[in-house]
Amino acid sequence: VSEVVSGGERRVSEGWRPGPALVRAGLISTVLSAVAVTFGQPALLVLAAPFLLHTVVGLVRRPRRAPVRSSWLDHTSLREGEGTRLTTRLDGIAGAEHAVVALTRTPWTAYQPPSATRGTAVGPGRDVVEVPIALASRRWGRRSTGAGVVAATSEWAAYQWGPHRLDERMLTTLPMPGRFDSAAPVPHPIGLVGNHPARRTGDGSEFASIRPFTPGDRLRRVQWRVSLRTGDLHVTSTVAEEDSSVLLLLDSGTELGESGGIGGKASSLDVAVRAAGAIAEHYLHTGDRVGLRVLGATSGRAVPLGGGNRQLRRLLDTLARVEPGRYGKVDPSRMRLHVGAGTVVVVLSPMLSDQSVASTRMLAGRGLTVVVVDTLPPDLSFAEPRRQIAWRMRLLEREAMLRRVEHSGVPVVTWRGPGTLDEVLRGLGRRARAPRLVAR
Amino acid sequence: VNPGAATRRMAERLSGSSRQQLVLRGGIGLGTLGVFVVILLTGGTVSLFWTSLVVLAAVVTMLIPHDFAPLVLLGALAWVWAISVPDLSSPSVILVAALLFGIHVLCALTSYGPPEMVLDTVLLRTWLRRGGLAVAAAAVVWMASWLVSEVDAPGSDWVRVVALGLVLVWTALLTARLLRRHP
Repeated sequence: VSEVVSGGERRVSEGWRPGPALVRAGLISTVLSAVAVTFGQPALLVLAAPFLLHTVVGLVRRPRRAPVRSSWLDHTSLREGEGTRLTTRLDGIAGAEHAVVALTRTPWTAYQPPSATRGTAVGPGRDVVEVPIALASRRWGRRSTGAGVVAATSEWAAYQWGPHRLDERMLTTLPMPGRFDSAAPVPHPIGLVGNHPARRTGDGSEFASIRPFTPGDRLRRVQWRVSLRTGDLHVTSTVAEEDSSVLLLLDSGTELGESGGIGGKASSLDVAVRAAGAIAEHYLHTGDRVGLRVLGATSGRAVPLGGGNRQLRRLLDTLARVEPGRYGKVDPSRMRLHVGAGTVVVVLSPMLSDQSVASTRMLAGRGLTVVVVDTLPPDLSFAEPRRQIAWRMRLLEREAMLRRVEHSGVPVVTWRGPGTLDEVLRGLGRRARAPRLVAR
Repeated sequence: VNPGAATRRMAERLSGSSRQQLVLRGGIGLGTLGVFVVILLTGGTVSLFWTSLVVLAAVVTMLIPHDFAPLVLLGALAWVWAISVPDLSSPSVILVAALLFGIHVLCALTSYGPPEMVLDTVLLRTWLRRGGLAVAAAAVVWMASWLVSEVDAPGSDWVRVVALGLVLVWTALLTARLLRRHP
């Protein structure tokens, strides 16, 4: 079994074949019997007797047909840290007494048993056996559960079937969104109905002013105290509440730091993906529209703006398929995001490449509200002195890049969970009310 | 084949062995030691050459119990016992038969799957029963041979020829069975 798992591919017949125990017992019993008879030594027959018994019973109890194997995952999509079960089923196993399944352990997957190998005894008369292996995914992504093999042994370990390969099963692990909450309104609410206070007055709950009654005003809006004092009918007006659009722009060009899965150390891409999930979940739950674009990707990794639970699922599914360094360079001037004015673009990036800086500045130049969430892990360091020096130099370059970004009017905040965007969104809201010059 | 890489791969595999697997492999060494103890207790002497050879075979068997090493070990132990013990027909032969079959069974148990696997106790109990049955068979054969020797019947070439014929038929039957392609 293990030879196939460790990569030493070898051809194995589909049916049952004599195992080493049967061959050994047969050879020893034959040789000892021949020597005992030839040299007249009955004591050697005593030594041969147990092996002869093993050989005879093994041959007689040979399984009559080869089993049929199948395997399946109970769930093909999980959240980080959740578990499922890979079950291997053998039909037509009558005559076998033991079945074993061994999986190649893959990173960020925890197995039970930890060796990812489980053997089970096949009871007498049973024709079907199922061998389950529990597994839990510890990191977002779309990965194989590991190449597996299955083997069976007949009674008295006489005949072996396999090891045969199991089909690899792909498991999609959705990112577990980090904790996020924001009390700040989005600067440019542009939709119809939502939770963000708009610039215009209308139906809402936030007080705007008290003004004279005009035809069409509802009676329940009449402000009786002011009306009695002034002698004219006055009504309370409120600020309209509208929804907003948030576009998440994820930089997957580089991944810095080592990922320890959920509960462990987080790489820059871990921070970015989990932060994107958290922001998306928050704004979708407040009724906004959220979209996603992976920097550099053109199709398949872009989710247009949308709302609702189904949109959240689409976003998380797309985030789970992000692969670091997969997408090549893209000309920022050719980027088409298909978003309208008023959309808030949240760039999640460690800001270590010219491409991400240029894209951010280009978006800001188009008049969009852009916020950069810095996803660089704070405790990143290298043991080797030369690499440590090189990394410090890189950080100095990065500081210069961040300054360039901030000079173009884009706030940069470090991801810290709840409240990360509050301050910058309030600042952007104030700035949005002031006139400004944009390049189109 | 790169011997260094093969050794490293084997060491990696063994490092992840389950405790049960280590106990089973250790049992092979103990069984080997048991045969030597029986030889010494029954008045036999063992040469250093044969001892070294058997120890080497035992170590290799403990490392790769699923290959041909157990066959070499069992053959060497039977040979050493046969040339070292003064009286082959003593009842101790049953003990030696039990030890040899025990080593064989331990090798079979370690070959059920990768070293990390833990075998069901149901299966272990089944093999314990089988071991008892096999030793009982050895005891029956010993008793039969003892009865024949007590009768002190004169030797017959015809009986020997018939016995050899039976062994040949058994060998042919076994070879045909082992080489046959099974579904």
